[in-house]
Amino acid sequence: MAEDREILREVWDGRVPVCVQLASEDCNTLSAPDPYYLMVPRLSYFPLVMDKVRKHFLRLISSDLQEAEMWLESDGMPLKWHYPVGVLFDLHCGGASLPWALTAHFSHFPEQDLIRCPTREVVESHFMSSLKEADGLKHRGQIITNMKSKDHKQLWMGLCNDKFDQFWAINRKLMESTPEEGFKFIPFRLHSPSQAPIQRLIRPLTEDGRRVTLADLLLEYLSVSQEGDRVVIQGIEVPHDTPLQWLSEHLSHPDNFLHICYIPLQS
Amino acid sequence: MSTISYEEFKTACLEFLELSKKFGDSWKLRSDIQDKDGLCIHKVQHIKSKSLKELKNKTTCKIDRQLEEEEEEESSDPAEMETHNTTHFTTYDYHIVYSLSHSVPVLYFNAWHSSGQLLTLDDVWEGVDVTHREQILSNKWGSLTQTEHPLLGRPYFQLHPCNTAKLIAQVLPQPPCDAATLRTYLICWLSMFGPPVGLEIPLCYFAEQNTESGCVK
Repeated sequence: MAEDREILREVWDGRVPVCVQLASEDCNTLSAPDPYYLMVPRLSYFPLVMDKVRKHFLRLISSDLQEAEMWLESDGMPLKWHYPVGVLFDLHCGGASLPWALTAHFSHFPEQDLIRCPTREVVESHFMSSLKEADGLKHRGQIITNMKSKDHKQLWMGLCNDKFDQFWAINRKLMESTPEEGFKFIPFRLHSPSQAPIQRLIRPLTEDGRRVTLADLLLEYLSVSQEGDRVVIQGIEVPHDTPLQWLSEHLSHPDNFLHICYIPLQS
Repeated sequence: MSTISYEEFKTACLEFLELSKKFGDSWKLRSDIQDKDGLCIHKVQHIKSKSLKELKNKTTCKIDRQLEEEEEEESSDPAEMETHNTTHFTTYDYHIVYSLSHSVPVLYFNAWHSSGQLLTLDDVWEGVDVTHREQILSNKWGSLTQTEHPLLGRPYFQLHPCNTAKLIAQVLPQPPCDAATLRTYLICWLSMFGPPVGLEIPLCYFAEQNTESGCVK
């Protein structure tokens, strides 16, 4: 439907405001350097959008850190660059105070917590793995395996260069299914604070043909929940009676996963 | 295509753990998994650095003693003891976890220098032994990378599971159907994915196979 395609475009264009400052222990200048402000696409990954920030800070750090990998931290937590920007934003900031304040570090890389990302190839490889996983769940991997590698490349370049049409020309194939059946399983990750994200097998239809909703998923896999807790997808508190098949087709990230953020009410 | 369900994976692991106990091997259930539905078995191993030395004696099952025996054999001159004290070891921690998306087991691992520092991906690629280099490195970004452990949520190296089902089907055409054949499935899988990253499977595991499958298919 045309209006549903508009939703795809709106999701694609989502941005979050970020303000990056340099970690004081890495700063080589007498006065605190200016922070760097930028709007970052929700659907992208930090290593793809932080080149300018890195260059901005390079001249302000000591010479022995020039080759170091820059890593980001939000309120004391190292940011997992391999999660989409929007997911990290919803989990760590949630729009409580804007812009989202981040600190850029060039030393003491937390190797227990963060995957190394010295080149863009690491991001590409991670992105392709996620696509294969998602298609494994949706179509037993049949669609992604049968694609030519130039199609894989087009997905990646579409994401890197913010080209909606280029990306969706191929991605629509990964979103194909018969209206009666839907995907085999819905690729999702349920993110909660302080634990590894949950992944499970969930079908879009029950045995008696009823459409499975977000409410069903939360009931099954969210162990504790109380008033005031928020469940956020793409920065939106989605109605819980929305069918998972529809959510998977329209609110997934480019990695084809539905990233669901559970944000408990702070006591 | 040879895939297994999560329940079958659990059975295969528990059977495998029994064998490990029997042979004095050190596979254990991972106890720090928050997800109550997440099963992970793991094994820690120390390998001499410089070259990823394959454990020479495959027939023995006293695996922990092997490295000591190798050292004793090499050193006849007491003056050489000093060099042995500075021999560097790489510590490997191998994890077997289930892949929901591919319905097969997956091998994750971490590796640390004796200094305690984690190996880089380049170190890991460098450490792939001669026999498997071509196979892994011809498509390194699609075979062996650093990723997030699905149950621990921390960085681990992973051998990609994309081709697992196809590979196992070539060796085990009959799908597993009982505890014994599921155990065989896991051992077969491990014998393919372990060696490229330094994990050898002693022959005693293979000697334990039933001569006939109990399945009627």
